[in-house]
Amino acid sequence: MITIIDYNAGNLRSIKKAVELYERNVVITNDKEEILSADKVILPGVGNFGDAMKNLENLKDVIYKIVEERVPFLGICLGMQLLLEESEECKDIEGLGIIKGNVVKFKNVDKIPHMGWNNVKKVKDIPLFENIKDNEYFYFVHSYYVNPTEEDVIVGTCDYGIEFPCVINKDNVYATQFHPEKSGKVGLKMIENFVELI
Amino acid sequence: MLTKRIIPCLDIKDGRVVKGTRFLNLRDAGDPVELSKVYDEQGADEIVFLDITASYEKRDILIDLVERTAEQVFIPLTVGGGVKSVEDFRRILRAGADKISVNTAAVKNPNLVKEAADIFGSQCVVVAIDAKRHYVNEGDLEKEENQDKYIVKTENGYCWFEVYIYGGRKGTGIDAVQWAKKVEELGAGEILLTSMDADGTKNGYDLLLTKAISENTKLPVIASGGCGNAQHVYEAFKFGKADAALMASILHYGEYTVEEIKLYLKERGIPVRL
Repeated sequence: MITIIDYNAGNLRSIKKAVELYERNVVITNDKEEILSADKVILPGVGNFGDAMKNLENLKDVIYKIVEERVPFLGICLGMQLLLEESEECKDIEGLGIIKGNVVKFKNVDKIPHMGWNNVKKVKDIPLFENIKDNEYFYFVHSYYVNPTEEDVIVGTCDYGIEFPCVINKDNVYATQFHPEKSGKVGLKMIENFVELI
Repeated sequence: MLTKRIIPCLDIKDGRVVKGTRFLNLRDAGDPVELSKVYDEQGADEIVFLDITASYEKRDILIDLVERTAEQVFIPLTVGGGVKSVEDFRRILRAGADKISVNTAAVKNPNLVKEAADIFGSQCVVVAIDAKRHYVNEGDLEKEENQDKYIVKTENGYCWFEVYIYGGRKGTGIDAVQWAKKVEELGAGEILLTSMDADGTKNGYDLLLTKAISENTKLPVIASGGCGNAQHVYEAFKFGKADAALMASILHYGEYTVEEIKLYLKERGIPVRL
C-alpha cells in the first residue's frame, strides 16, 4: 500500500491517479496508523510553507518514524521544501528538518513563479532516474527552492537564473521540486521508479 | 532552460468542444477528454478548458469532464469560465484541475484572487484579462483621464488597453497594465491575456499588448487571441515576450500539430520541449 499524506494541500487527485497506474492500493489519508502501515509514503504539497507545517503538526512524529524505519518516502514540490529546516517564506515556523539546510526565494529572475517545463540535470544516477535520460523536461511551478547544507544529498539540478537542487535523496527519502505527476510520460516513469523501490 | 509553452485551448459548451475539429481516428472529436489526449500525445505543455456556458446547472457537466480528463492526461490542466467563488475553486480543483482561471469575478471582487491564493496557493490562480485597444488622440495624451494609463504607440496612433468583462461585452475603464500589477500584488500566479482586437482574426497576437503586460509584471503571461500560424506563435515569444501561447482553431482544424509548431520555433531559436 502507498499512502499519500492528506493535510489539506490542494490537488491530491492527480498524484493518486498517477500512482494508481503502477500500484493498485493507494490511499489518501491523515490517519496515523494508515500512514505507519504503508510500504511507501508520499508527501505532496502546494501553497504556503507556514500553513502547511501548521496543518502537518499532528503528523510530524509519524513522518519522523517512517523516515527512521527507512520506508521509501517521496516529497513533491512544497512536500520537498518541508523536509528542510526553515524557509524564507515563513521564518518563524520550523520545517521538518529531515534534510539540513533552508529554503530560499528566487532572486534576480524576470519571472516569478518559475512556471513551466525545464530540464533536469542528473548529478547522481539513483534508482529514481532509471530509464530517464539526462536533461529530460519536467513541469515546475514554485517561487522558492531548497538549499541543503550537505551537498551529497543533491542528485538532480535545474537552471533558472541559477542552478538549484531539484531532486534530493538521503537514505530512503526522495524529493522533487517539479511535479512528476504533471510531467507527462517522463514524470510517470519517475513515479513508476518510486513505486518499484524496495 | 525554461521552455516556452504551447497550450491548446478547448472551448466547452454543454460538455463538448464547440470549435470544430478535423481530427480523424477519434472516437468522438467533440469529446474534450479525447481531444486532450491527442494534444498530450502531440506534446502540448498544458491544456486549458474554457466553459463558455458556465451557468450553475451546467457546472456538474464540467466537474465530470475535469474528473475524466484528470484520469487520463498527466500534464497541467487549467479550467475557467464563470468561476465566482472560493467554493467554485475548491470543487474544480478537487475534480482534478491544477489551475483555475478567473476573469469577471476577479474584477468585481479582487479579494477573490487574494482569498483563493491564500487558500490554494498562487500557482493555481490564473487571472484571465480580456483587453481591447482604446485609442487616444495625440492632443489628449496630457489630459488627466489618461495620466494613469499605460499608453503605447501603435501603427494606428496612441492607445491604452482597457479591461473588458462578461465575455468581452462590458468595458470597465480599467487599464490592463495597472490591473495586471494589481493582481500580481493580490497573489495571482499567472496571467492569461486575450486581445479582443485580435481574437478570431487569425492575423496574429496583439504583440504590443502582450509586451506591455509581460514587461510590467513578474508573472508569467500566456498570450491569447489571433493565432493563425506558427509564425504568429514565434512573434508572441520573440516580440511579445510571452511565456506561453494559447491557441485553438489552428490546432482543432488540423492545420498544425503541436509538434509542428514546436519544430518551427526550435529552428528559430525559441526553447521548447520536444
